[in-house]
Amino acid sequence: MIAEIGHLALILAFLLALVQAAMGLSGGARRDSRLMAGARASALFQLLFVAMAFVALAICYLIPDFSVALVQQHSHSTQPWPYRLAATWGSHEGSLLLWVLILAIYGAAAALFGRRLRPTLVSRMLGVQALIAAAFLGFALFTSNPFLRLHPAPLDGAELNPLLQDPGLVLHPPLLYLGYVGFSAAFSLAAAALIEGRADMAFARWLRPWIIAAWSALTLGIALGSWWAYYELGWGGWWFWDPVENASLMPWLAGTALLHSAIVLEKRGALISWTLLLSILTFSLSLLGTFLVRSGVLTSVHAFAVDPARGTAILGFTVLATGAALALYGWRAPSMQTGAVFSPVSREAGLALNNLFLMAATATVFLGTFYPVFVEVLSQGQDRISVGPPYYAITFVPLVLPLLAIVAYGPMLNWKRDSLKAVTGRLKWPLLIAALALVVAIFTLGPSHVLQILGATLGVWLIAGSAWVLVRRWTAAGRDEIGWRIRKTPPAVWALCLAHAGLGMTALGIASVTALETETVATLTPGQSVDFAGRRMTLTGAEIVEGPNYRAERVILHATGPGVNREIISERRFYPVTGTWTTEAGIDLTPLGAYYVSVGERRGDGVVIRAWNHPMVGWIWWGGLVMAFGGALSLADRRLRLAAPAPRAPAKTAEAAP
Amino acid sequence: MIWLVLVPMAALAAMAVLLPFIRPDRTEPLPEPAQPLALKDRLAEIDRQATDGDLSEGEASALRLEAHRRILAEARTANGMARPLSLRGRRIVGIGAAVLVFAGGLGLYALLGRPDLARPDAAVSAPADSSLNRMIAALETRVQETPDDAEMWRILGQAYSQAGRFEPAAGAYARAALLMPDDARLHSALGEALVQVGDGVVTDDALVAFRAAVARDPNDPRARYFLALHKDQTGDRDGAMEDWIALLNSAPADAPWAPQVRALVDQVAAERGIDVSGRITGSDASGSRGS
Repeated sequence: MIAEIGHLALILAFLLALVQAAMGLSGGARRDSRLMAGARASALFQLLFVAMAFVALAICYLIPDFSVALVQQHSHSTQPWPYRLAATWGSHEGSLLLWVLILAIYGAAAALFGRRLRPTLVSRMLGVQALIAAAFLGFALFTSNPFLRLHPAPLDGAELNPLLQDPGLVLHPPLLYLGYVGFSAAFSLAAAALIEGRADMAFARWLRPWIIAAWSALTLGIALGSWWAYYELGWGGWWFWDPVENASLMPWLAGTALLHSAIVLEKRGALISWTLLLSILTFSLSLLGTFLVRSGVLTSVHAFAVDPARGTAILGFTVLATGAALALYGWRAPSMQTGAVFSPVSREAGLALNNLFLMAATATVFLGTFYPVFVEVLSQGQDRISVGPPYYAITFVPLVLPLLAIVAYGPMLNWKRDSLKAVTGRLKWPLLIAALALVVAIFTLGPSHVLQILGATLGVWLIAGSAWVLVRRWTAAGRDEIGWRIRKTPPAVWALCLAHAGLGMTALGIASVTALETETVATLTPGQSVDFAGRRMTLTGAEIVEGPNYRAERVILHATGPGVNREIISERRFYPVTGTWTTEAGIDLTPLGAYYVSVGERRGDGVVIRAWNHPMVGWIWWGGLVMAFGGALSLADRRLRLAAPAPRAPAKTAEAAP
Repeated sequence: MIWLVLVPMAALAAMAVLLPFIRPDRTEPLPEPAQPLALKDRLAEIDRQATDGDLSEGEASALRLEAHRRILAEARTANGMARPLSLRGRRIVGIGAAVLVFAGGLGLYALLGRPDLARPDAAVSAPADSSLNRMIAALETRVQETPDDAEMWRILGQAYSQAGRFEPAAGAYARAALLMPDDARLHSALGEALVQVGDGVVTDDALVAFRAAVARDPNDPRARYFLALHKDQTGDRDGAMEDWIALLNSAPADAPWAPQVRALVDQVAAERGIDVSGRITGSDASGSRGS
């Protein structure tokens, strides 16, 4: 019953998306208020029906109703219910449903909050958004239907991949999708502006909130995913340059560039054409990521085992959407008005330079990700090459280090024109602190780690530079006004400082952990201990524990050292239904670093213990958290709050009049 | 009746697209172009920054001037001509869209959906292969009670395999092999289940299992068969044929698997035009074809 309701809801959402696309585009072209209203209504009801379908699938998982094929494949009756629920988006079909749900949320938001934009622009934006939605809803219905039934119903199901049975699954995919799919709003808005042939001030003001919302969610999603990989995969890695991670990094880099060029467009009306192009490219990269995960060209935790035919469909759509948008861009962009001019040293120029570095970095990641795929496809699977960290160390890192160096300059530059000498003068104190950090880094990290020394120095430089923005602002008018000025600091300024400082924290964490990481392996019997990284670890207990759907070998270690006295628990779990092992690492995380213990196989009476010391590793994720928080803060900026109570007062009086 | 829920759902969606088109006419001009609002917002922002001391009065007035200039420049771009729908066109579009959503929705559902499975009791009706499923359920309970019983895991693996659920079958065999690591048959059974999971391809995982099996019993026929298949799949066709023939030649007279392997060898030999009759020492030279 529930499954059938969900199925019809999904079908209705698909048809509404088709109607919305037709009405939105034609309504914008004809300036017909009813067609435009029809597009808005379709967007709202499309959200209602997609949400209904999503809830229906979630209920099927909760019951669990094994007559639904998807539930049967990804849910076992012994699986704890939160993971059965999270399994709703733990499969190809289910995650596609989450994808269209978030697309519908952004579409409905555009219908509701787009009232400060020209109505024709909103209408066309809804039309383009609906084209994307129709493609994905159709794809879900006709190739990856989540509501296919089994008759007769099996008595029990297969299990969700045990690696995914983790609190991380509850948050990581929804956040990532909020990011990926969120860039669809910028894409649709840019496409609408190109169709209209004008990107005016209202457009420039309302492009950025969509980008920031998507960017913040994506930042958080990536940070969470990295933390999840760190504690779940059992060997303390936090970034693998895995193609699927790259698939999320590319839209992030392009989205970061877009975020900054949209500032220039908003404040100065410059870089119009470049911003439109970036809006298109960022979402295209998101689509490519979706393709990578679902095409079957990759094997990874992230890859849903899906046949190449369905991957081809997504690739086809990606090429079509990107190609059509770029063609539109090539046709329309040259005729759009060009923006204000600026000198080579100015805030605008700084932001443009940042864009240059970010896009070059995106290109290196793109090459590293797709070159191996191309080689394999062209040789029909005969040749395989693997692109790993060494490639990124000589391409990506050298691009990112100078970028970090200029980031702190940006906020200190004046709009229109400035001089390098003056801005360096304004950054006197952060420069001094960075110089000090350089000396400290050489001594603590060792002179051979050149990249890490630079990374750590630049991390400190960014944090100091960001703090300096605030300090300068607060002390600009003397001692008496400090309190008032702290209170009056607008969210946008906080946002900028937090985002840049967060980036610095991440850089500092990465530099420390890659330079100073140490590890050891020991076989311990109960009572034995091993000395590692200034601590003594004693094996105090090893036992077998029964979980709800697994059996675990649990190892308890007692760690003692200067200022440390705590237990670390690590488990190795066996899931009989799928016959797989997972490792639950024991992690003692402090601001100074993490002490990471993972239990291995048994050897006679002993247990193999692997331990890592990761100095300052937590800063990598806390930095991401701070960046995302900065983004969220800038959404709270006052001018955006103005938008919420924007009643359609003229319409109401008009209704009362006749 | 499921249709009592489904039809109103489709009607709701149809109403949503119809309503904007049948609303009573109102003398509604297009809402004001948003441009002045954008200007107002921008000016308010500049004022705020000026009072907060972020902008000097000179900078602020320059920015105000620029905002006005931009708005003026934008105003020069003419809007396209409005071509609203006629009353008749409006009705056609509204009703057409509503019909498309209503009839299209229910029609597509009739094609894709399973309204016959909507009754709540449909899911629990006794499945045809219930005896096997019941046996699996019982075995699953048993292995939870005695998780160290390798034999029980093996039987569970067999039951899963029979039910065509090869992933859990592999899991059960893996568990059994873990508990009785010296039993070659468990390793090769695990390997076979993994081959089934891989749709007939001898994957790396399966290869590990088969190698573990022959390390314990070099004569394990199942492992030898699949290792030869692996050679065949990776291009070493002659080697694979060698191995299969050797496997047949070492088979005991009553080996239940021999006819199948024989049939395969004959079939492959026929496909590739190789004469193998002299190389097989078994009694029945013609072999059994097909299957």
